[in-house]
Amino acid sequence: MRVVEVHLPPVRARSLLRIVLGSLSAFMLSRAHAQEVSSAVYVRTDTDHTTVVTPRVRVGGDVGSATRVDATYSADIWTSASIDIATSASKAVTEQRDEIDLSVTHELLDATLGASYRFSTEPDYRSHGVTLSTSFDLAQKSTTLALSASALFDQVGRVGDPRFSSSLHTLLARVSGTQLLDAASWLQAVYEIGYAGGYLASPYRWVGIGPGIPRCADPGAVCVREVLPAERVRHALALTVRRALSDRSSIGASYRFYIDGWDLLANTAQATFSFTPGLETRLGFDYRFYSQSAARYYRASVSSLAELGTFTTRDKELSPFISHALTFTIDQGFALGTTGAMHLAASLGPTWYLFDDFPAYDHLFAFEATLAARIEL
Amino acid sequence: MKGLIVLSVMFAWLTGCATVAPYERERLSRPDMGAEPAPELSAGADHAKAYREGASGAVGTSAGGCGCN
Repeated sequence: MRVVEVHLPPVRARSLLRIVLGSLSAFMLSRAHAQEVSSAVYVRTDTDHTTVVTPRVRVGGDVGSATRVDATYSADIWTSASIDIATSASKAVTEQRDEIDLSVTHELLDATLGASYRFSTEPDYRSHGVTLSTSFDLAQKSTTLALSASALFDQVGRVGDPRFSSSLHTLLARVSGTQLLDAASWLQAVYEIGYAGGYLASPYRWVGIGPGIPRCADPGAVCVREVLPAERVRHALALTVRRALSDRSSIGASYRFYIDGWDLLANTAQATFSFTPGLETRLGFDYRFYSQSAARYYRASVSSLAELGTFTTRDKELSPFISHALTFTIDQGFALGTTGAMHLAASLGPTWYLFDDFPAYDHLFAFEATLAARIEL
Repeated sequence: MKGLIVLSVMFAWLTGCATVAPYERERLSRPDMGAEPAPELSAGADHAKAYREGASGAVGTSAGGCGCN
């Protein structure tokens, strides 16, 4: 059984940080006007015995006429007895991750400047992230160019092993262009490059040596820790187009090409259809296809120690697979007084994963649902 | 850098630098025509996908910042 809470920040320190961030948020928002509050609960469960529940609360508003502040709190509460957990000789695990995100945006004529800070903590992981962004409107706001850069500083621990501590730094840069094509359609192109340096493996994942799926808890089992390179460079390029078909409906399509330094290549295609049967009711239908090749270091099985390379992983997220996802969305708006509004929304749908070369199973079924409410005053 | 140049050329070629007057944008201003029509609904699912797929970036939530292995 894994034991929670090791060498990461003491509870008092984390509580103090939450109080400081909460006070800062309260101060910023107390000076804000046009308050907006939203909350949502996301639930995901799959046939690999993993369940995730994510509550999220966001408060935002305007400070003056050109500045907006937002504060978001979310938590990931997950329980898993997945094949990864089982092969690592552990019983079911339940953990919680808490995250706070603060952001400020300021408008200057045709430009917008933004900055955000994100902190998340969990028993074996802590992360600080900063993002700076800017966007420019051109040609009577028919064209928008945007740039953003993020830096994340993560500390990786291992529950039950206070001697283990590693770091991970991630740098991301994104450039995008959005263009109105005509009175009913727009096109967006996004390019993102990312660099990750540091500990990129999972401190819990083992590679069993032998035929089939060796369980590290079995007597005589030989297992070695997953080892992955300390650097990874990612490139992603996405194109999205959306068009209004009538006063009540619209369609959208997007495609993303991805490649990285570990030879993982992926394609993502998505199609959406939205229909508005009434003034305040909106329905959405979404289909998403995803496929990826294997990363260079993925091994479905290792029959002997002699077969081990310098880097070896048995992570199914680095194995070749495809997935199909369907999502149905409904959003219902209500008037609140003369200027306010409330929206109640829900989305739900299944995802099928089909694995080409993962020995534990060849398919996985997941179901996701989200309930959300938003109040604008 | 090569990708950025290709992106810029494709973007300029596809859009032709069109200008749509503000009074013509009634349909474009509808909630369903936004780039992210319902972020509060998609945030959780985007986060889950980012940690269950090898690819990330350019759309939705960027990966990083959690030990969601």
